[in-house]
Amino acid sequence: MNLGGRKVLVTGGTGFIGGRLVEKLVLECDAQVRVLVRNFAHAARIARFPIEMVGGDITDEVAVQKAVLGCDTIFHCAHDFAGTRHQQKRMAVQGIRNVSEAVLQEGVPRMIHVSTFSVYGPTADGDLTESSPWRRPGDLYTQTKRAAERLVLDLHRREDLPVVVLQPTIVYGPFSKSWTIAVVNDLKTGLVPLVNGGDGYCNAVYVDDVVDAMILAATQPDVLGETFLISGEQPVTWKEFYSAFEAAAGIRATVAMSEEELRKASREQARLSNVIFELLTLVRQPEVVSRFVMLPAMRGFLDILRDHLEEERWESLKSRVLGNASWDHRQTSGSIKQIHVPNATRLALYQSKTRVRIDKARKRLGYVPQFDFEHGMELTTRFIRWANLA
Amino acid sequence: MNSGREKLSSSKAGAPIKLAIIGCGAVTELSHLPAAAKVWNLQVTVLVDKNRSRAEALGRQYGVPHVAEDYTQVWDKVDAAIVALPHCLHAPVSIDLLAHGVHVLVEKPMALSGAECDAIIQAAEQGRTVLAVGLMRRFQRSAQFTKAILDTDWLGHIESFDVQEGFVYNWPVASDFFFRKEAAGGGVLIDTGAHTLDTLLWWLGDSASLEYFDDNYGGVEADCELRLVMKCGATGIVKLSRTHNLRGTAIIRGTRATLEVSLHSNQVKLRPTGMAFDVVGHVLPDWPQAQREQSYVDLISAQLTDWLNAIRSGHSPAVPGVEGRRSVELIEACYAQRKPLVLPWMAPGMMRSSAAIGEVAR
Repeated sequence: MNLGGRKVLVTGGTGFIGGRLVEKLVLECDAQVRVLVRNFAHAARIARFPIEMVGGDITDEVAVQKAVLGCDTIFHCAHDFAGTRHQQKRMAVQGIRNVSEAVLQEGVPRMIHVSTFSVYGPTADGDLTESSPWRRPGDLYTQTKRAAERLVLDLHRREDLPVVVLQPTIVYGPFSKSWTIAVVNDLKTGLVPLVNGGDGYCNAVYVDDVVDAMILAATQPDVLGETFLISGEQPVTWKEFYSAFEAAAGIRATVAMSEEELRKASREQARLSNVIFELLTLVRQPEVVSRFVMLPAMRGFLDILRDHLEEERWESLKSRVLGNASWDHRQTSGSIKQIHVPNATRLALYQSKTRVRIDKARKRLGYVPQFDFEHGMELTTRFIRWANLA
Repeated sequence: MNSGREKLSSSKAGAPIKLAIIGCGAVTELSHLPAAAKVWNLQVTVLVDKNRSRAEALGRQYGVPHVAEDYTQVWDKVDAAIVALPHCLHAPVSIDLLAHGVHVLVEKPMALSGAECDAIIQAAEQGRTVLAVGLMRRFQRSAQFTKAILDTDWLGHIESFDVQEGFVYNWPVASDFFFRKEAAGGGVLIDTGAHTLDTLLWWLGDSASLEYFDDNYGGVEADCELRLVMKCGATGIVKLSRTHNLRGTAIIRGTRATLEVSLHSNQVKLRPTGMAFDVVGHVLPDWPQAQREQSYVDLISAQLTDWLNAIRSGHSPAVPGVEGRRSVELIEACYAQRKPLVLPWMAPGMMRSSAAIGEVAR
């Protein structure tokens, strides 16, 4: 079976993986694509294609029902990282419930649910397969993804929901917020610690491989109700991962640190940080800053800061806030670089020496990663430079 | 039917001009209503939107006494109207209003084609009404400064230019019209590009030839690149984007000096040829209390004031229809000779199929 001429619905199509999926479905599969769009402001990338965009929120039962109507395949990629814990859980669980119920009601032949390898929690060293246990409660992202995955697999067992679950690993590539744009941003704005020298394993996968796996999951026979880990051919070390991004961005900003040093840095940072400092960092866009610092209240506050801070701290603050706002690009000397201290989940990820096995996806889906890390990073580097990220 | 001038002169001398705003999308909420509130002797009397509850909500917020769902219900009740509708409606609605004696400020792009612009201009002439086009960047001091020094030959002979304008798109659109080709007429080129190209043409004059590349594969483009040769002899590139942040400046290289001017602020940078020094600063007016920067709302209220002065005085506004037409004509020429834009991370095979889809889509 192929998707040529078939009507497919993509949720989360304005996001990173969903956006690339839409491109491939149109350009390579010749599918008729419909996308459920919550916020049209984010639709610029997919609006380049002759697709149908249907306005609506994944938590709106009626909107989902309407979007699913007449489709042969549903790709469920939607996930929201914003909002409160409650909102995120609601979106993840209510969203997938709405999609699943619509699939059952309309008799849609297949639904692909994009989950994550994070459902396994902090992974143990050694091989990770689809039968590995889910360890410890995990963070909010892990919890919501676990709940969604449980829900669809339960519906498969009880009501024959025709679902295939994919669990991608560290997905990087053009337009990836978490594992490309944020990585470059961290390197630009501070020091990135390599935990224990960065010898943990990074199971990275280039976005095109994930999307190819999704298309295979939509078309291969006898895979309903199955779960597949999707990763690259081989893991790289975190040192290799970050070094590749340093090379792409032309920045040296990694620093090897032990766990103890990280804990100390974390304590120090907590002591130094204050809300206004972080707010000022957030408004680094030149046009925002130039207006922000003109506000009378802000000017008064800045005058007080200048009078009371040591010169080095004041200069550091100025350089952090103004960023590129000034056309004088000379570096301010003595600026203090912040260490991006990882949270507990990230720390565990950086430390683990887990090797994600893709044998099941190879065997049942015919999945063969086309991009080793070197090739994937070559393309990602081109994107980083094109998008002026560095 | 009264002409625009007759209607206004028959009303009480010195009375506020009664304004309708037609279309209650994000631009009306964030820009036109706050700007109109700052303009002397202007009264927004009616908001028009087919989504009546949206118009009523904005009306309550800004104290606008009336709302309507159809602009034809209001043209005998107002002196002037701002047309802030999907691009495809700019021409038909503006023509209707102008022909019924209502002065019009139409949002950019003025229309979807040069022919539509001509029809609007003709309607204004026949209705003896004042037509202005919402290209408020011409009221940015840095843009005016650039125009002035180019006109006075400070930079010498202009040899080349490099213009970049782009953001990760996040305009709070209320509908998908911006992304539907039939409604918007195109993507970033006709949207952001209407401003960018208007200022470029205003500064340097019309183009002589062009090459145009974009990433539209059957929808509307998010990124595009123009390579232009101007009639003045200057050659240059214009890059526009909805997917990534670009420099947001125009660099204009002359034989005597190079000027870099911000497209969103009053910052300018000047480097005399052969010198290793930059002069960096802000373009300021000659009154001491002035703010260094002008907000978007400031620019719109400046244009509204100019348009109202034109209505009252009978003079031409700063951006009349013939000026609004120039960028539309260039945009139309670009779309007519589109070539696929190379996205450097895309595999060559994919670019071929993309190009094929783009060809079909044209």
